[in-house]
Amino acid sequence: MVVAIIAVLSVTAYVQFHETLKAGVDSTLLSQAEAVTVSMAADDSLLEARKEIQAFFGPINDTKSPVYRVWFESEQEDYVASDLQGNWPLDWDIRSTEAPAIGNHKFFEALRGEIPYRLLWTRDPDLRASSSTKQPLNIIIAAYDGHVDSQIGDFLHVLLIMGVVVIILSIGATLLILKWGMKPVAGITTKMNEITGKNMNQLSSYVTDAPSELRPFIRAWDEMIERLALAMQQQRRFTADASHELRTPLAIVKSTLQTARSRKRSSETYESAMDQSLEDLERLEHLIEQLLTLAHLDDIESQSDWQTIDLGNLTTDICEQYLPFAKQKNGILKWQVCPAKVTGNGEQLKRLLANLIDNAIKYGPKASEVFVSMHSSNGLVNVSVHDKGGRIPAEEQKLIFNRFYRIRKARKRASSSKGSGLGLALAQEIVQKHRGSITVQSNPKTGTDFVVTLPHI
Amino acid sequence: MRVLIIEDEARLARNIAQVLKESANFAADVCTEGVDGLHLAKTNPYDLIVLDLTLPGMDGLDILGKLRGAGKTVAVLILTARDTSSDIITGFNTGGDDYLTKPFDMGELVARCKALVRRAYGQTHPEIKVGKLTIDTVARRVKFNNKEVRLTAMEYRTLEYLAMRVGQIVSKTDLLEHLYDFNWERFSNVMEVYISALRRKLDPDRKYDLIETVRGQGYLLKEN
Repeated sequence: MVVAIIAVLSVTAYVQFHETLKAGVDSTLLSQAEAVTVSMAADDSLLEARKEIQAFFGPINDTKSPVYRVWFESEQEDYVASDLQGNWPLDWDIRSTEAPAIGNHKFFEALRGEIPYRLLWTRDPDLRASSSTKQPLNIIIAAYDGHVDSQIGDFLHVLLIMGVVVIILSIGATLLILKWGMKPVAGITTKMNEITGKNMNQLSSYVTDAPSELRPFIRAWDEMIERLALAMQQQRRFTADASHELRTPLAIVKSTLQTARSRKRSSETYESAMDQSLEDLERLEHLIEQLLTLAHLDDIESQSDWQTIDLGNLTTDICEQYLPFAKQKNGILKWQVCPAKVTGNGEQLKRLLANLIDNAIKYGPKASEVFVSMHSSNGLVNVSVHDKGGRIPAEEQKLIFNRFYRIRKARKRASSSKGSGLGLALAQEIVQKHRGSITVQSNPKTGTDFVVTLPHI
Repeated sequence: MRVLIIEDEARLARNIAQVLKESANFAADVCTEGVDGLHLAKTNPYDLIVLDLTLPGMDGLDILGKLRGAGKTVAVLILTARDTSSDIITGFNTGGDDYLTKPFDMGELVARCKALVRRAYGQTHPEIKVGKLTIDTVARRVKFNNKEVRLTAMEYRTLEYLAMRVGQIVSKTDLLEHLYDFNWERFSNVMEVYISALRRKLDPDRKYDLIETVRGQGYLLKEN
């Protein structure tokens, strides 16, 4: 860029300078011709004029001296010339050149050997009072103009040196400025390279002397690292929890079968070991299924399979489905729904409600009532699942939606009746995917309420 | 030998207890909760504790730390689903003697438990020799004067414990505490029954005074 600008400037300067110098040479030649014309006009003293002109041009003694011829067109001989013997030193032949019109002039380029000359040919009317023939007066003056080129050459030389110096200086300066400006960036880059999944340090803890221009960048970077670290921590925790939850039932089944096989036993013992193993495998199956659903929910962001769903009908379907289960537990399941359209994934919404109703029947007090109710207002629809138990202590109500969280009382239960610890996490995930919310209220007096709120259309 | 299993999965705990009783002839107690587990471990002279880490009430590592803090030297085998190197290192550094991750092989668990108990009593060979008496602790076979002696489970348990503590006087209480889990009714004269049965079976002619009664103190198994 810089080089291009300098080149354009140089060319322009060269052209301008060249023109000016040439114009200078030309105007000198014209004024010399004028002087000659004036001298020649004084017709009474042509001889004097000849002397005047010779004096004017001075002695002709070297190869850079001016060359001139002055003659009247009818006359065979030059009236006055730099060499009256008719020796013409320039490579410029008058016979192959068209003469300028009378009262006009022309410029030409000529060479004296190798040396450049600028040549002026004027053709003026005869101004001599005494002249009867009135032959036009021709004047040819050629002046050395090599100095123009040599001056331009010098000029270009200087221009070139200056240009090179400017380019070198500007490159140097640019590099210095860049290096100085990038110095904090280099430090930051080193620190960034040290960032890994296990080493998520904040840049601001290292880079304390960053220029103010970089501070917003560092802040944004640190915030990103913080979010990533949190996500990774959650992921790590989830993986650890999941591996624990998967290994434990596996260990139980394996131990049951190995214990049964460790010696000869009665067929009743084998049967019981097989029944227990089947029960544990069912628990494992349920857990794996929920884990896969969670992973699937994590994976898929798309709402391409969303449909308009009547939440009222959906709720009724699920409640009818769970009626036998409630009866089996000697309980009552009642529901009261209203029509409310929502958009979403029908399977997921079914799973959500089924989960809450299943929990209420399973973990609520035995032989009591579970009530599912619905109402919509202000563009929102609420579905509430109520049971008479107050089983969730206040301090644990926030935690129950965490993956693998089990309320303390539930943890002491026998393994077979333990939940996977994923049901409510799954419920919350589904609700959030549907841009809704889920809350819980639980106390021994009023019972437990899970309320799902979804935007309604 | 008496073992305490602290494991919140009751079925798993029962299975371990059963196998340790059947295959290692240990007395086994089961506890499915952390706080109770620590209390039991502190108040009973167990030879071994099989300890789960993820427990309700109190974390297994806390139990282990508190036990070691209270100066308990009982051998502890950590049995857990936590399987990363850092988990295992933490387990050992907190005072664990062995570490096994779930799911595990029952046979391996039994072998590790036996080795831990053996080492706790300063024995290295799985076969204990005391004079003319040989006890193969792997096959649980007893020979005296190169003749195989058939013993009941409780007789074997008694003899093995006395052999582990060869040369030491073992009190009746000590025997009861190490050979019975807490579901047993403990009558102190039951020990006398077992000791006399052992003497009769091992040495019917009473040529050797194998198990000596030290009056008022207990029993002593001697080298010759």
